[in-house]
Amino acid sequence: MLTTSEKKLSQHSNSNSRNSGNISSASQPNLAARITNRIPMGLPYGLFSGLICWFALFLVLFSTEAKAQPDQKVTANITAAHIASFDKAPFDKMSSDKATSHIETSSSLTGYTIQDSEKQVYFERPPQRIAVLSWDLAEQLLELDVIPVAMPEIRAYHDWVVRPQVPESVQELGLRSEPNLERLAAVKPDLIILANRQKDVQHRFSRIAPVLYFETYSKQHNNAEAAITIFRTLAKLVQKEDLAEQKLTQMQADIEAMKSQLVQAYQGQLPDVSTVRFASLTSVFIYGDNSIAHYALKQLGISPALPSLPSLQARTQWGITQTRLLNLREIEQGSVLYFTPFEHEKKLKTSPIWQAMPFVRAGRSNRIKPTWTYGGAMSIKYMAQALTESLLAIAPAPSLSKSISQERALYQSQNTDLKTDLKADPKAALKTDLQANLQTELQIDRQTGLQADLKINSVSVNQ
Amino acid sequence: MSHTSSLPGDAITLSQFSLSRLSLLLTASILALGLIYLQIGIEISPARQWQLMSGLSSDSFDDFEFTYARLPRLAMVLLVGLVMGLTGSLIQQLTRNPLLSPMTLGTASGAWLALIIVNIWWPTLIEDYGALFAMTGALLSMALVIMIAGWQNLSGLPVVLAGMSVNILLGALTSAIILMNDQYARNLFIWGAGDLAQNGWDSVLWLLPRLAVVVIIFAIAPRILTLLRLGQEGAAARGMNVAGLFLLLMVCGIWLVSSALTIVGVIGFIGLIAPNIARSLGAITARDELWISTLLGMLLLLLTDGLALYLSQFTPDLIPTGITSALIGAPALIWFTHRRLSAQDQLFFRMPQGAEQLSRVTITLLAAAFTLVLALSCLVQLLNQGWLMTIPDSFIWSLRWPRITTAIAAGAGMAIAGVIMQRLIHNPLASPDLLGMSAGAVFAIVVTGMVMGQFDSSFGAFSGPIIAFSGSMLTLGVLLILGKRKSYAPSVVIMTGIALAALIETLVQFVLIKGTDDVYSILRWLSGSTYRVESSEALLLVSGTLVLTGLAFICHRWLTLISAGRNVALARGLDVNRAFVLLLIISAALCALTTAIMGPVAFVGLLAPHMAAMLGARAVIPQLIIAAVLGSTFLLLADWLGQIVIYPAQLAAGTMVSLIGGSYFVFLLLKGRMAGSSTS
Repeated sequence: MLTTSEKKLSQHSNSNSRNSGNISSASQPNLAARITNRIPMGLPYGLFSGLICWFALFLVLFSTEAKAQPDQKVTANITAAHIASFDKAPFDKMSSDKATSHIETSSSLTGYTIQDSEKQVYFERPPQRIAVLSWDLAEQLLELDVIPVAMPEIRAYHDWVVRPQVPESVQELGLRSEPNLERLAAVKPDLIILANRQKDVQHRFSRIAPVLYFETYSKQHNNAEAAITIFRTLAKLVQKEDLAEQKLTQMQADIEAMKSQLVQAYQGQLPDVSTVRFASLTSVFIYGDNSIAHYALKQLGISPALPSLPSLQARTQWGITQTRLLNLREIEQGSVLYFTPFEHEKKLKTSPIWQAMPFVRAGRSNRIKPTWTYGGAMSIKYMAQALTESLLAIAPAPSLSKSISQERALYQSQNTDLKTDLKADPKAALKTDLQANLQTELQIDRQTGLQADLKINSVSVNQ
Repeated sequence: MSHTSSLPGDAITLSQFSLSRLSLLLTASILALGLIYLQIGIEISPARQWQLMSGLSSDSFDDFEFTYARLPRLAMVLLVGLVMGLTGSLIQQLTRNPLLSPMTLGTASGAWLALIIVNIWWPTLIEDYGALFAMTGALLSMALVIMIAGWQNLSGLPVVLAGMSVNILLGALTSAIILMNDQYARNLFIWGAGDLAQNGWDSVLWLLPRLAVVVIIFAIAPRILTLLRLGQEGAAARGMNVAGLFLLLMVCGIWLVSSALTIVGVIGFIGLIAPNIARSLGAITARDELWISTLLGMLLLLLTDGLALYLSQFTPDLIPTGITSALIGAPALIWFTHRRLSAQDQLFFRMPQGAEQLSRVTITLLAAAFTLVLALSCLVQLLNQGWLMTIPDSFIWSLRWPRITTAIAAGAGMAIAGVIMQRLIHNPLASPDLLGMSAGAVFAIVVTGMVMGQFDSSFGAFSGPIIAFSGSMLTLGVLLILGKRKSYAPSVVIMTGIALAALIETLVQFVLIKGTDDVYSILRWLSGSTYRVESSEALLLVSGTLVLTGLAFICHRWLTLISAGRNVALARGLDVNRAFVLLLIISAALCALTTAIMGPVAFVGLLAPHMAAMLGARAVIPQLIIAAVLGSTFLLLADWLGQIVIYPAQLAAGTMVSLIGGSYFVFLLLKGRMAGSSTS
């Protein structure tokens, strides 16, 4: 293809130059030509053809580059051995002084293979100096008790992702979209973990150290499930699979506990819930399918509250869809929780449209404390905690005054032991009894000081 | 500059009778449209609506929606439309400049910058003082533009160009801040897109008392404006304190605009078009123009917002009014400019003050500066421990050389494009990036991204350059077709560029409100970074720039003739139009190539030719050479500094250039102003 277009190109320029030659010899010596006599005759035509050729060259160059790209991917896809030979030369030069994990050309049995979002890479032993270039992946590593050597935008991470904390020793790499390559090379990592924002410049990173690429956020899969898969993969990478499984089981248990807490508070009738973040006093982002919030709600046994507007919770890459506040009116039965911080929260609460919303009138709306919405596997747990806390605070309590239910929510969110207590509960028994009145319920369930507390309170209310 | 020149558009004269009929007609259409507006997507019956309007309290959500979302929105539309139409006409009449409006005077970019700064560094203040900061920002940026142009000097194109430069400078600063703090700025994007949706009557009630100034304007402005038409001397002879009243009215206008802007965000074009339509409908006296333009402003905003409302019925997505007003306004503006501006508003190319001839010392210094910057970018390595002068190893070198060559080629290319453009347009303030060449490329990229739904990284790496290049060439085509009938009058070319640039700005904001991570890849590209330039792209840019530069040198005699004036060139027998088009193509191609590879680069094309002339390169060839050297030194320095100032993070070269170049440019203009006023 290249050769033909080159041929065309040369023919093109030939015919053009011939053309311009003809024209220049044939054209009358008009005034313009006399004035610009130093300029080659027929210059305008030459100029045009030059430009056209230039543009054609431009196109050809880029189309060849485009053709080259898929080839690279194929190479990367075949096997670890191929990748190793592909990366070996520059990589050896860069890291000849350190004796940590190397990609081996021979597949000895002591090592293991890691599948990232594009390829498989063989590791002989776990990498020791990992540089990680996105927040969610950094979070995953830190949850696995692995401290990366370098990551980008640490200060902003602490403002937004908050937990887990990044230790002081981690080096700052600059912006996530443009991490400082020279600095990264100086840190001498033995593995670099990339995400969406660096995908297009992957080949540069692979000259520093072996590269793994993980796509947590994509329209093609469920982001939360992908986060969990990546968590497991990373655990395998650093050989801490036990810890990962333990954490995941713990998370599952915690979520189950929160679920039963909610079931109890809502007397078996869990509401439909949608979560939003305000973009202004008149528009919101809806956390739809593919958002961590959506997934966490599903784990808690709660369905979304927007059945009538499927497009608003359609699967998107980042799991959010923007819409007008007015569209939330469709939520007749469900509850709506909104993420903070929202700087106009005060104004919002007094605004007539918000107050006219069915779910606000019925007291089925609440704020969610600041929570990171684009995290890794463990952020599902944090999300579920924040959501549970928020939902408990607005749980309908027919025989309890609102203030007591709020107190209870507060108490429960502070009391971490409660969850383990609740886990021990015979759930089936609990569920059948949920429809019973509060007195009975509390008697069945008198394992924590909280419920005792509540009983006293409710008794006083009843009196 | 004289104040006696009449505004274009007063060819048709209407009698007082038909004029009152016109205003009646306009009022009737506002009423009718307003009623239709109230029905769009509203489900309650008109009878019920009437009950609600006459004081019945709301019951169902539909009632609430009507009373607390739709009615205040209508009120807001009318108020903001009034402000835009009125101030547009006021400013245009005061300055005798049909191209001025709050938009072209840089208010929006000032307010936007102020809001972003407050939101990032003092987020707690935004709820209570946000409006105040936006207003201060708008006032300051407008003051800056007026100071640059000189307030007696507002009737020509220079003030429009000054506004444009301030827009670019503040815009670059804002996107740099957003990129550095991307998580923090998200909640402001709606404002940037210009949205009229209301939640209760609070905003309307906030705005209403601030509009009391309108009364003052209607009371005193017509007389003053009428007198001003006699020219400043004439007005002064009739006992008017020209400066004082001028300033008073100007401040009133700015106050109104910034109040409206603070509440609804960036909605452009209406203030610019309404007075022009008013004049073309035959409003000639100052009072008529004010009235008709005010009514037109309301009508136009009602139309555009109605369109936005109507469209949002079909999609759950947010359609801000800013986008519909830009989609209608930009073509309207181009059409108007095209019809109204004459080819005759000739501007002569005046060299800036400076050395008469290039001295050997200058040349040596320039060469030394270039070598120094080149050495710095090649050899200096910044590490945690501090500075290090090393010969880079092969890996570091492979990272650096594409950036270095890109910066050099792009700098030289933009500088040469600038020299050509300034001499063609006969205006030392013209530059390819001000004229929509980069804007065309950006437009293509943003629109393609919007159509494809996402700005994937692979999209940026491969097809980006081709799309950008075709966008730029398409803009050029439009410019050439539109400009042909007007013999490529500078004002037509400039206004088309400005309309395009504003349209693009709105589209970018529209994409930004989606709020996903993808928006930052657009912003990053818009900031003109060399980070992602691959070696093949760098080579392409270098060779392309070389070819086009060669062509520019071949054509240098045409350039000499054209810059002596169209008539001179014609008299010497040059086919001016053909030469003009070819030179324009060279300039645009240089600009497109740079934009395609590294994103838009502002100010180099403006400043390098200027500085070259000041250093004594007065003829075409020396100016081309010196400007190219200056341009590449400048961009190389900017790229290097960008990697250092906030190490380990980096600022894009394009941003650095806008910051340094923009500040220098403003300084230069202000200095020239001071010098000018002291000698006169």
